[in-house]
Amino acid sequence: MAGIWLLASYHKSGNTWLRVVLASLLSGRPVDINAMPSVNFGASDRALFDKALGIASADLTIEQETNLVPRAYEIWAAEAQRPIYSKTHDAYRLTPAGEPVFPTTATRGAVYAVRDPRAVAVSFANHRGRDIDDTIDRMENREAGSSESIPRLSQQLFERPGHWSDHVESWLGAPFPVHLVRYEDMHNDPHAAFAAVARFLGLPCDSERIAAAVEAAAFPRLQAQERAAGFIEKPSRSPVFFREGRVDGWRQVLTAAQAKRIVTAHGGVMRRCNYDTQLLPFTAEL
Amino acid sequence: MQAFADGKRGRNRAYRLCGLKLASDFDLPALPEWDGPADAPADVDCRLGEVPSRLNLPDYIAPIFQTSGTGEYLLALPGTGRILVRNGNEITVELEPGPAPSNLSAILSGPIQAVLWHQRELLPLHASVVVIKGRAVALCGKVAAGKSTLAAMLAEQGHYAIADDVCVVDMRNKGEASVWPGCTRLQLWRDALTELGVSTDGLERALEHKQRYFLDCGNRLPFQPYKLAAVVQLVRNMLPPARLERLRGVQAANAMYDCVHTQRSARALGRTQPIFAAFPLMASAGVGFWRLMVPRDLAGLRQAAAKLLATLED
Repeated sequence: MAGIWLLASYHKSGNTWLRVVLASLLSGRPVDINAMPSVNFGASDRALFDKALGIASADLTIEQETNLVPRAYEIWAAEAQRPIYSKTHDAYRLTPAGEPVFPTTATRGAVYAVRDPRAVAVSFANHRGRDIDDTIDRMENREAGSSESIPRLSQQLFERPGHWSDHVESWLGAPFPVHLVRYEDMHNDPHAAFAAVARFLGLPCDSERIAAAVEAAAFPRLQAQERAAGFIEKPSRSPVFFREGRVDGWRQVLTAAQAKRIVTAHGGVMRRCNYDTQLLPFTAEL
Repeated sequence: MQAFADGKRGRNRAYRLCGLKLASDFDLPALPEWDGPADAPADVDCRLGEVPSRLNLPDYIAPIFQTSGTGEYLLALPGTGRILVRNGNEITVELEPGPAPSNLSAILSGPIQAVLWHQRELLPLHASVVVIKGRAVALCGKVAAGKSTLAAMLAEQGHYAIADDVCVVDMRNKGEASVWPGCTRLQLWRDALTELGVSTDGLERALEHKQRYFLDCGNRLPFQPYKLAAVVQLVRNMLPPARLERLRGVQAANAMYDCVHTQRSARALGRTQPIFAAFPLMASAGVGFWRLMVPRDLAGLRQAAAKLLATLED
């Protein structure tokens, strides 16, 4: 069975970067960030869901929609000619009917990208066009997701990333193989981090191919592509998508109180992922 | 809106379903009310009744629907109920116990209507339709591509929106491709209405549980078939500027197949081959196929509308 590989993460945790590397690896050449069909299968793509099930999801309640997502996955997996690499920001969770949203029978495994939640807060605030405190609130909200009351028809189905710590733990406890990759490791030693991902996915992982894919997805190159042509995944409220790509940029932006709030809420899972919870913003060290 | 207003069985509602008369036990506010002779017999009956949980001899079984031959389609949708469509002229609905589902009329007017047209061997596209200089232009595309919003923008400029969501292409008169008006109102989400400068105050909701409203664009055309001049596939979230390109041959056929309403049901009902055969006939009948690349925001959609008008009005 070709099956589905899930590329899962909380928002702004390196999912796009990971997909650019995988797209380069799969095609054997640098990719256009606006044309990556091999890794742009969106698990929450409303049009794909409608096409698979023969219904208009826009007419359904959120409960009906979510209960049918596993059926869509089963159809995609059964009809796939080759492995599907599917991005998701959803938590690994159950439908209202009580079955996993991501059915084990259709899923070969997941790569889970995690990033220091202090860096996530800064990047996600920029992405949302909201302030950092509001974003920290959202990362603590177990119900946080796309809302049923939104005044527009989203191209995405309802997703519930929820609480940041719960998100991480839900995926690490999923009942299929899960490969954890830290954003910071992708940044500090990309060759090792992406080679391990490629090995997990059964893709070519020889040093030369990995080096070429890493080079093709180097952050300055992604920024240059976005500057030159734009990026179709950039939200309109966000000035740029590929912003800094730093691992410790949060230390220049967060206040000590904000950093403390994040550690208080998520310290246990941060330590589980080897994040130094003692690290402070630079301003707090003065 | 109550899907089954009086809770009793009775054919007390009649609607125009393109060129047909539909008698219904249910309120179907997306469809225009029947204004023909009151004693005209119904071409399609939509009634409350018992629906089996499965078909006798299904030859296609999908998670929420099954079909038998070309004449039977059964939808089983938890939270709403079961709907059986037979021979293109009979729709039977068995609701789940409890309060009437808020989405029944939308499902009947949308995907179920499309299945009915597939059974009648016509071609339903997932499209809004605008009449420009007397000729129909079908605006197709995936869900949330901006079809209805673009139709509303064109209606603002004096053109006529005559269908939303389902566009029925009739090729029965050889050498001609025509579409019937399917609705008198567009269905728009609140953000699109806001961006168009339309308040939702006083607008009827098209879906009780979501912020989708009926918008009456005001201008009317006689209820008759209109020659189809163009099918335009909208592709949203593209990089600016808006672009319009002509599609031909296999590229056009593949794009148009993507625009078929309830494509999987069509396949199950054995309609794939006739649908592909219809595209060259449409081209011979003078229908042009286009792809409109639309940037993400409303300004992009306005730019796309201008581009489309400039080309099609020539």
